[in-house]
Amino acid sequence: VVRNQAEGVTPPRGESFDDLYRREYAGLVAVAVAITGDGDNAPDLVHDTMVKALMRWDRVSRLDRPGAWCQHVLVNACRSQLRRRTTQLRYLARQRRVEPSAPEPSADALAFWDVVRTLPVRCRTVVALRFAADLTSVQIAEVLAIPEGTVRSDLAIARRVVMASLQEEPHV
Amino acid sequence: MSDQSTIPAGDEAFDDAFERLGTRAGAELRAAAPPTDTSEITRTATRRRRTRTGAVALVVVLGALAGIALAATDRGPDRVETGPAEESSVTTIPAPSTGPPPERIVITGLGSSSVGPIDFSTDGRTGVSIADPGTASGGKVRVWDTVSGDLRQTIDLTSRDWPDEVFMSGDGERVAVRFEDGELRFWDIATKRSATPFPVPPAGVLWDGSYPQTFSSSDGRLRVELGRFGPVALADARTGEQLTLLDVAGTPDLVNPAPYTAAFNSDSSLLAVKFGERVQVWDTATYETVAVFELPDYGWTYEQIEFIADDTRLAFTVEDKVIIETVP
Repeated sequence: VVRNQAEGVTPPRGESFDDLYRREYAGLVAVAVAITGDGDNAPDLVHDTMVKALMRWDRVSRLDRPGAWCQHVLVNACRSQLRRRTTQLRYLARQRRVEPSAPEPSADALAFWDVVRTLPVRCRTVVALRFAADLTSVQIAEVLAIPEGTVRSDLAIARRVVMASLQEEPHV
Repeated sequence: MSDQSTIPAGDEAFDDAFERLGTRAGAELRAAAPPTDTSEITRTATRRRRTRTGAVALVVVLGALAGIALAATDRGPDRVETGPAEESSVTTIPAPSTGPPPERIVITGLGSSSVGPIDFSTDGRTGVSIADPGTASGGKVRVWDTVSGDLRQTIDLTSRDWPDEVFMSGDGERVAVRFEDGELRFWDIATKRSATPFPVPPAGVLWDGSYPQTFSSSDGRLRVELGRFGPVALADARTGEQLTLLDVAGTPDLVNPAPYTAAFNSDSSLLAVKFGERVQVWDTATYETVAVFELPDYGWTYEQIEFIADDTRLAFTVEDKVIIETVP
């Protein structure tokens, strides 16, 4: 059962870790993909986030929104990846793992996220939390520890950039 | 910029189109990631707990003579948990501490949510970090003592651009910040005013998510490649020739995560690589392991690893903290 956090549904105290996992997993992976653009690595980032949540479940489960804790940890991990640097770009063949089959995002969706990833890091993170995690501006502000006005401002900037860019593309 | 007041009012149809497109794009991303079950999560957590029991703060020193191992000493009594003074209380800039540093110092409160890039003075006594990069205030430059943890100075960045890198001048009197758009700004630490530029390294290249990740030594001599699932390859940076695959302590798996980030010391004689909360240090001439130790588990991702100028200490950023660990 996927409950929409944007509708203000607060998980019942005493929910199980499995409940949290099932409710948050898809949104967390979507946020990681939206921010990093690395669909291969996103499940690993979420896996690590969930392991941390489980290892602190006695504390995390008492939070009003355990999902927000997970999103905060995940966003930090995503940012960390983006900030890490390399000094040269020679790569070996990428190792891939077999993932369960699932519907691929459409060309329009991929184009949307491609443009989002050209935005500054905070702005793209805000858009990822808005649409990939389906959070409200208030919830995004809570996860990122920034004012709600800043969230709205970043969304307005993103709207201008994304729509201007996509309107130039014939398939949108 | 003050939020909505500076944003032109949007056209409703335009706004709706963005909302519809974003909502659909988000939904499709979520649909592409169906959850499996939690058994793998549970297994990993259980094994990590088991591994940590009796292993946290385990320090293993392997000397140049193979087979010598100094093991399992709890370094608790030597730890210093400290935080910088409140900003408002900083009226003068104290001199850097003297005397030997503790084996581990945890400097807390360097940001309300996160510490960004860090750097150190040549003598290793003063550190500089960015607090809360990317937040509405634009973040703050914080200068602090690496031994006492005392805050020495705070400089407001007041920029919407993300601060990518921070540098401290060799004399420890100036700092520089490189922003996301490539702009470099310099400040005098004592006066918080603009300062004359000093040489800083060229901008790096953002990691694009590909593997192996590579990190080069500052002298351009060596390079390390971190594979996604564990291999740590040391190479000659000039020729590209692989010198060796370094021996990694433990088998890289879900308990012992794959290498995450790396750093060389100033003369590239030492290489440190972080795997999860475990750090392994090698001698790059002999390829022997010099040290393996565990960092505290704060439930957050350690972001950066840096040798401090004297090469006897390593600094790590996590959440709002900087942890400085004396290399055994």
